[in-house]
Amino acid sequence: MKVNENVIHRCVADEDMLVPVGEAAGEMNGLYVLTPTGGEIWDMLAEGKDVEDIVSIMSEDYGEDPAVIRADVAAIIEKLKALGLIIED
Amino acid sequence: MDMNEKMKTPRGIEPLWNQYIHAKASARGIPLSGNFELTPRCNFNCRMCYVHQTVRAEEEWTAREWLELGRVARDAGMVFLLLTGGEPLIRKDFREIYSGLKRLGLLISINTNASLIDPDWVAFFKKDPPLRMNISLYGASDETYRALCGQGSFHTVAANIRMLREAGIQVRLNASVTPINAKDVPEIYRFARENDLVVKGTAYMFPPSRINGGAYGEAACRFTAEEAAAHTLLCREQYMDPEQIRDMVPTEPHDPTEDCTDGQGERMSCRAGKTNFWVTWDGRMLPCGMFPTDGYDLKHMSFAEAWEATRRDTAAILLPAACRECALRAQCPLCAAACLSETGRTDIRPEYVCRMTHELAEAIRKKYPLKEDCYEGE
Repeated sequence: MKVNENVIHRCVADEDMLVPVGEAAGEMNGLYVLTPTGGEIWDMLAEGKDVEDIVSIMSEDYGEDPAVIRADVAAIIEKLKALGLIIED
Repeated sequence: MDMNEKMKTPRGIEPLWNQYIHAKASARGIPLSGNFELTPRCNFNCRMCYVHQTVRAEEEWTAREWLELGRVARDAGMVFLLLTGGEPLIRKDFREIYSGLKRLGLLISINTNASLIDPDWVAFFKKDPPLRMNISLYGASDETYRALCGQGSFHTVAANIRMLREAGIQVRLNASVTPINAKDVPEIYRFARENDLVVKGTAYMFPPSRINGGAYGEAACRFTAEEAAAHTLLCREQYMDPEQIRDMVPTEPHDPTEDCTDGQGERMSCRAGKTNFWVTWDGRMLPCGMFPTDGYDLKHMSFAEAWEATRRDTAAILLPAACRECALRAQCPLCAAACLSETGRTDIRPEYVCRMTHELAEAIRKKYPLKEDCYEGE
């Protein structure tokens, strides 16, 4: 699993957004807005971290039960996959 | 979802979020939306144009310069970018500029007359589509195009618009209504309806003060104020029902002599100089493309310096005090650029615009009177 290389993460005015470019722009609708934590997850995926890495880092950062974080991370990854923003290797 | 249904879906940008991000950027002084005027050259010679000039391609900024400006503006927060001209597709290096800017993570729209589009262009845009193409439709016949633009290109443009639509490219039409193409207004709107497109018609033409040597208020190819009002109404009648038209003006006739006030004029309410900027073909930053001012030369100052100076200048602009309390303010196209183009100052009421707005309100009241029985017995 990896981020779609034709999608660019922008952060402007503290708003996280994903901008598809190239052929991806033809298949997706213009621009997607992420929550700040969604933006953090995206960046970690872009760095090549796997889900367990992300869960470990975020549960430490937010002081939250890993099981809760894992469920939230899985949910956003599913959404990003459904939109074609994340693709399988 | 069939193709027609998909076409109707606004592509990508949620309007409320768009307003939200612009408001947030405005509060933080972020240049969120840019306009790059890539060239003043055009294959058309429209008689009301405010940009078109004949220059050598070498006098324009190079692709490399535009891409560098795009990178700097992107780093400062630019997300939305309009590529315009002149006719931007006339540049031999347009594809290099467009693709390079897109790779920066920008949402790009294009202003074009669509006459140069061919299957090769459509394939190019299909592969990496713009957010939207804003196409100027100058009439509904080759004759009208020849009279207004110097080339009888209607059928070519119409075919190209259909080709772009079939490729899934988002298109919006703009129609500048002048004495030369006025008779085509119903046909222009019919063409839009038949092709499931939105057309924005306007009968108010800015005086081309950027290129006419500062002859403020002079426009060779526009209606009288009264005719502009009549044709504004004609445009509205093409897509609005009588109630909608009537609801756009206050119920009581307005006496313009009541507008006088000793108070200060209002400040600019548009996005120009708050989140939006315009860079002319020769590299000067303006708040918007209609400003007939020198702006700030990006050859001699950085983007950040030019943006700060543009913000500072526009924040200080005051519109005419006389317009502040006008009952028709919400219906009036008055803005700082209109004041400047008409009078050379931002704080003098442009008589043409004022007369046009009052004539329009009066024409609507006459043609679409309130039905008194709407207010009785119910």
